[in-house]
Amino acid sequence: MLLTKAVSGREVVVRRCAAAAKAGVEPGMDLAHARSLLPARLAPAVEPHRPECDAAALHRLAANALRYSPVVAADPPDGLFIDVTGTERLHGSERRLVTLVAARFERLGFGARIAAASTCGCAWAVAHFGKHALCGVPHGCERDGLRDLPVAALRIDGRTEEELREVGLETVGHVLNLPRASLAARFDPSLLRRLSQALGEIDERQEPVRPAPPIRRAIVFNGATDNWESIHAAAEELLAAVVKDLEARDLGVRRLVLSLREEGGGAVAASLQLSRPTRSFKHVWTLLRTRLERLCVRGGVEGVEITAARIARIKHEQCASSSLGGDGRSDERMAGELTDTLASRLGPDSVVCIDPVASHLPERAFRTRSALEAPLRVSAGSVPHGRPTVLYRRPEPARVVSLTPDGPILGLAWRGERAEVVACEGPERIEQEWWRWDPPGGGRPRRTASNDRRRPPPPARDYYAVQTRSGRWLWVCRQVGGGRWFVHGEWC
Amino acid sequence: MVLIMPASEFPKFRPHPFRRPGPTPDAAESADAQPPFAELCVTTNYTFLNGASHPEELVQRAADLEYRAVAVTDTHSLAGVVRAHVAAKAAGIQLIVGARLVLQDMPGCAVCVYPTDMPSYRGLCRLLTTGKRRAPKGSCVLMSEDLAAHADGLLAVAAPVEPNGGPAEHDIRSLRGVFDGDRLSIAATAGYGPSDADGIERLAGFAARCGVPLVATNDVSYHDAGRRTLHDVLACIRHRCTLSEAGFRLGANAERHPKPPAEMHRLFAAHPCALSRTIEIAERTRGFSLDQLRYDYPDEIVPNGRTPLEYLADLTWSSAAQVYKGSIPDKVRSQIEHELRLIGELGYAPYFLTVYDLVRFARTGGERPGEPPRAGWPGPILCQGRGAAANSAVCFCLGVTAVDPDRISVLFERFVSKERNEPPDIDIDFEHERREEVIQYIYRKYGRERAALTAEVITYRRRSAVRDVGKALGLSLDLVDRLAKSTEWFDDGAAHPKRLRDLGLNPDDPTIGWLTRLVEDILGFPRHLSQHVGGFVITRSPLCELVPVENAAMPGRTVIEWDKDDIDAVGMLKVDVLGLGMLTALRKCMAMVNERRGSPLTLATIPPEDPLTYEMARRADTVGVFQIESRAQMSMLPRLKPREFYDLVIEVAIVRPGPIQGGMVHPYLRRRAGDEPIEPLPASVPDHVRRGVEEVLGRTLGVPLFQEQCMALAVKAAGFTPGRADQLRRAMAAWKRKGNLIYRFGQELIDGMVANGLPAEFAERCFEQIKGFSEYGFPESHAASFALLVYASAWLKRHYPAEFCAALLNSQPMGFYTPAQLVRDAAEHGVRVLPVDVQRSAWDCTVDRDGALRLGMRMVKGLGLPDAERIVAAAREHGAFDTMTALWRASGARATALRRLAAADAFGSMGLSRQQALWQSRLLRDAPMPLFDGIAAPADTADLERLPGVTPYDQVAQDYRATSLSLKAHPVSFARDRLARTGALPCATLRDEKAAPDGEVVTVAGLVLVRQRPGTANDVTFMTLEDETGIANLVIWKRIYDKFRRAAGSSLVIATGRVQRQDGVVHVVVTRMRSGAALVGAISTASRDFH
Repeated sequence: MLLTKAVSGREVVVRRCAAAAKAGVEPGMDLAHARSLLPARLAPAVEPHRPECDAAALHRLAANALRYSPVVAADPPDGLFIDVTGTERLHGSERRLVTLVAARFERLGFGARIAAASTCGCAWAVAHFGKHALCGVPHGCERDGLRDLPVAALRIDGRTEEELREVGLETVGHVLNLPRASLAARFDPSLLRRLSQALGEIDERQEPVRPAPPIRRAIVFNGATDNWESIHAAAEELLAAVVKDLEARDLGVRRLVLSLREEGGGAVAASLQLSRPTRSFKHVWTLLRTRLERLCVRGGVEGVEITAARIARIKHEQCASSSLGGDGRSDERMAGELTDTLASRLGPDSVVCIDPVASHLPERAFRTRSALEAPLRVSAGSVPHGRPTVLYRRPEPARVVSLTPDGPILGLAWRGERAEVVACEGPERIEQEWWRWDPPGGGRPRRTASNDRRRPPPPARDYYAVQTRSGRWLWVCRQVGGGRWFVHGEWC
Repeated sequence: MVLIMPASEFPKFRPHPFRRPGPTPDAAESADAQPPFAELCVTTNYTFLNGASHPEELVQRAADLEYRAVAVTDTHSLAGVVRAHVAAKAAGIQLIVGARLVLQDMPGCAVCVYPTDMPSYRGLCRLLTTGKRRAPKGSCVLMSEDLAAHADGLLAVAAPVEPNGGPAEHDIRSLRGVFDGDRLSIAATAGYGPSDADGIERLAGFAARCGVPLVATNDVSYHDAGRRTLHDVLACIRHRCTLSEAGFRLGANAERHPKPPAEMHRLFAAHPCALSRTIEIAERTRGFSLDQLRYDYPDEIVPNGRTPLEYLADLTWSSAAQVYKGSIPDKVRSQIEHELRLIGELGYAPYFLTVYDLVRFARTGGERPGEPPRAGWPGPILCQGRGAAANSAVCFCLGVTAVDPDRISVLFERFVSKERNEPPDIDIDFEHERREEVIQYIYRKYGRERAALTAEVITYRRRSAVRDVGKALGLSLDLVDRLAKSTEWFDDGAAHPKRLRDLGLNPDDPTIGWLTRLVEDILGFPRHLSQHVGGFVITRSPLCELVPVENAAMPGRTVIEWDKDDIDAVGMLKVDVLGLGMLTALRKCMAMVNERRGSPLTLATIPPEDPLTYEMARRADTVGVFQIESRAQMSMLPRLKPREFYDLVIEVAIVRPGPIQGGMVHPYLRRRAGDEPIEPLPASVPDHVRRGVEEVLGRTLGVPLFQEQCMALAVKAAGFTPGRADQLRRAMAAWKRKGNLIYRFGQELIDGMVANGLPAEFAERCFEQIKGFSEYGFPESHAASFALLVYASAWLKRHYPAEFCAALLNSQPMGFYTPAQLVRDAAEHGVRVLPVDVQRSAWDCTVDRDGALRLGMRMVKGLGLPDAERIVAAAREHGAFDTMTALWRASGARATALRRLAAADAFGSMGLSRQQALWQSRLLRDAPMPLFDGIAAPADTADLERLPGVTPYDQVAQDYRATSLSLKAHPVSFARDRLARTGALPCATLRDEKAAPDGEVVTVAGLVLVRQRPGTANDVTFMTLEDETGIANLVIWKRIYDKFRRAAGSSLVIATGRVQRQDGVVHVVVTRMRSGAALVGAISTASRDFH
């Protein structure tokens, strides 16, 4: 498995799996080079590297590690600081804590290198460069613990590291050996800071993660009730509280779950999907109320709970204030609310958007998608002019009267009726999107057993706009070179 | 059933053109001849990434369809017109030269303009030049006032950007102001768009209102409907998108190809005037043809009152008298007379004088005679004509070439031939570092108006084609890369299913099918214009009136739009001003030698036929020698055993793909060694043919090795005329590109030879050998020019190895070997090599009075010339410095420069080790500092003692990092113990026939110097390893190479294989390889790889 990113037109390996590392693949290599190193049977799965996903995963891991200490900090790209000061007792000893953490991470599927030391810098250095995967450095022994590690263990930038190695200072011990003043005169000040941090001479703080509690509100009734009004009122109250929570965290909800706890331990739930994140109480309540009414409850209800199951940031947008003559609402928000309302009435599958697609072929010139998946875009798109307003699902065969192959249409027999044509324009010739078909034969590429049946692109179509005597404008087409005619659409 | 169509008031309705009166298609077809039509808007593939057919294809198709004429109107360009002109002449159709202009202030409408006579053509060239010179390379910015200024005599067709579109009305009205109604037309296109009939009708109405006639065109972009696919792909490449993203940027249909005139008449039946207008325009442009371009040689090279030929003859005879010290050999005398006669007949004297002028400039090194030399004047620029020009005694006398016509046989027709009627082509090599001086001289002398570089058309090769087409088809970057890198999946125009599967692809996938097909189509398509390496065009009248001139990518250069074939076709003068690294090295070397010897040595005064030099060449001890330093040349030398100058000529020519593929090498070697007799021609051969063949092939023991021999053989044995033989040579050169022309010549050649009584088998073998030359063959004259430099460099290496090595180092980058190898080679020849030292080195490498080579500061990576000069100057003025700080203050060099020198261990003369020097250098700061800072921090000796020790290994690694070489130890020497444990022998063992006899299996290890996979030996990779004792030459078969690919790619290779000895050349045919990169670890060495 390789994760890559594109750097000025080349794909460069950013991360690689253990098997690839064994084959000699290093971060920074060209993907093509990496492939050439891998044996043929190891076809790598190549995916784009998404650092934001890494960061999110690290953050989740940090939150997971909160069980060991209230102070956990992420150290991107791949480290965690856990401040275990005072918590060793809870886990027996420091040593036992370290093995516990290692075991847990192994269960989660991560190999971890862990070091316990009295300073962040020292722990970092030993974890990254120490001989053993699990290690503890007793208080006061930082100097000895660091002495044999390479200078990179000091968390210095690449340039400083390079400069140190240039003068032959390979290990932390070499650096420690020299007077600080001489070092300060020659190297970046960060070197001395990092050195002091590792030795505990100056304090260092990490930015700890704060777990975000889920947005959930619940009410437990004083005994089961089947009084619908009180359930209703409770739900309304809960929703108001949830909206308040959302406001406090500047978030909107995209999926909301309301569940009623039944007598006897069961629960029924209604889930509400929204096309865009929102925290408008009125809008959500309108939708939720109808859901609530449709819920089928067998016995009494013991409690109500509302969870914002999917939350997202609300895009900031400018609205014309009502005092300035606007209505304080934005088109997009209104479109989103309309979509939600329609979807909750008609069912989520019944509301679709039509997006224009840049294609000359009429049947490819648009695409439908669920309106709930992505917000409705208010855009005209580019549609070639001279296209009918209605395109039939499949072209309907017709018979056509004309004098010459390329000539105007004089009459039309379609849907069992004959019609006289009073006006005709065309032909407009539209070719197939050839790249979706096989290249026409001719020997190349070399034939294999299965490619004897080729599908060369079908012939182009000639379209005519015709008007019948009854005033209908139809879009009629024929395959170039073939005789069959179709009606493909209509202006109405 | 026929329905009668009533009149309708619907505005949408327009009667179809067919309903209008006019000739019916049937009537047109029944007439034998096609109705008259000329196509006026044609975009060829010289509108880069737009047109989808070559000009030749379009012209040919127009001729096949019996068009009266066809125009070529590329956007802002005349780059394709010469090709079209040549094709049109061959096809017998009138070509209308034109260009399509897109004016910045006229967005709705393009204008195609056509010159009607020579002055208007000049105007058009000037117009395009104006637009191009003010825009960055490859683009053109024109305004309507520019067009107005150059519109005299041009005819114009306004082509709305939207076909038949209306928004162009305003633009057409303003064009109407530039061209009167008689010269302007509006293009109407029937391209099967959404509402053609409507649009044309509207346009006709508008045209009638403006009083501008309508003209019918099909806005052609490809010659055949099948090229629509390629046209779409080109659009994607241009817009950097894939086909499925391209949408409306692609055409809706495939109608933009030339249609039969009858079809055009059917489509425009309603507007017969639009059709007749095409013929009218074609007739009016008859006043101009590219044949009228009259090329004028510059005239300032001839003194007043003399004709060029007189002057040339005078110069030649007087120079000849000097060269031959008064007694011109008869052979040369008659040759000069012959040449002057031919030059006079063809009027090429000014050309020779132009070239002579350049050479004279180089000889005097830019100094005016009589004036004292400037300070720091580096002396004359070495130069030497190469190529076919060395076939001329006149060139030799004028000093343009250096090959004495007395020493080789001269075939002037190879250079200048009456039949070809093309101007001769002289290539001159100058020192690569000083070529710019010559170029600037040309610009100074003739002005930018009259001198420019020729273009080089960069065309699609397989790799670039796969890359661009693959991207357009939507293949992933990674896949495109893989496909482009390995061309194995694709041979002879067909994809290989199995190899595609190996790449993880489904060969039945339509995308792959299209890829192979489109790649075949796009091969050879021009992609952009680049500048030719050194081909200058010089004219008497302003150049920009002959051909548009555009800016080159390099600032201060201008390039014409035509490439060298175009220039040949229109008969313009071109001089190739090329750069050659070895000339630079030779000049530098001779300067050093002269300084030491005190007596002037020049190329001409190097003692000829020195036995010691040939003896060195026979030992293949030729690292750094011009040409014969490559691995292939080195393994040929002990077999060929050169003993005289002509052997070097053969040596240079024989190790070429041409002779190798033609199978000429082994017969020649066998005959030379006396193992094989020179086969006698059968008795049936007539005497004059026998004499002819023997005369041609005698010098090369019956094996044709040079291009001239092929030509001469065709003349003497197959009855070709000399001009025809020259065409044969051109067909040979173009075989791979142009296809089967050579087979036609081949048949003619074989028939001719058989008719002359030569055996068919002999004739066929000759043809096979000639075909081999298509790959790469040397003319004898060219080989001789090179052999002169081979001899000169070999002589210098033999007698002045220190100076020779220093000169090579000072002329880098050049040649086959890295500085580390050159230095090591010099050391092996007993040269004492001294390291870079901050107080003793100059910028260049120098040779001490006692013959030791002192490396220069130029070897230090990252050190700039200005800093180095400051340091050198300070050391010269001040003498020895005690401390680095003192040097720094006195010189004013930047601290980083001193740090680089410290990293290169260049402070030995101050008693500082590298580590100490680096430690000290870190105290220096470039940023301004408080007054007394730095002075107050003296060298802290306590610090120095506390620094950790550095191992010898690290020392060497750091040497490599700073200077790419080390004088301390060879990197492999540190691994010798471990290598010995694996059974690897030192490379030097191979030299010993007893220790490593033929057939013995040995293991050797070393740094990879060179990896080479010559095009002629597809299955073999040659690799050269080097350890502290010497080198080992490996031969690796493809199967083995693929199996051990990873090991083969590492910097240190441990190879096991069988020893192969032949004529003193030792190879190891590898069976197994291992990577030993871990053994040398941090030492990063560079190999030079040639594929």
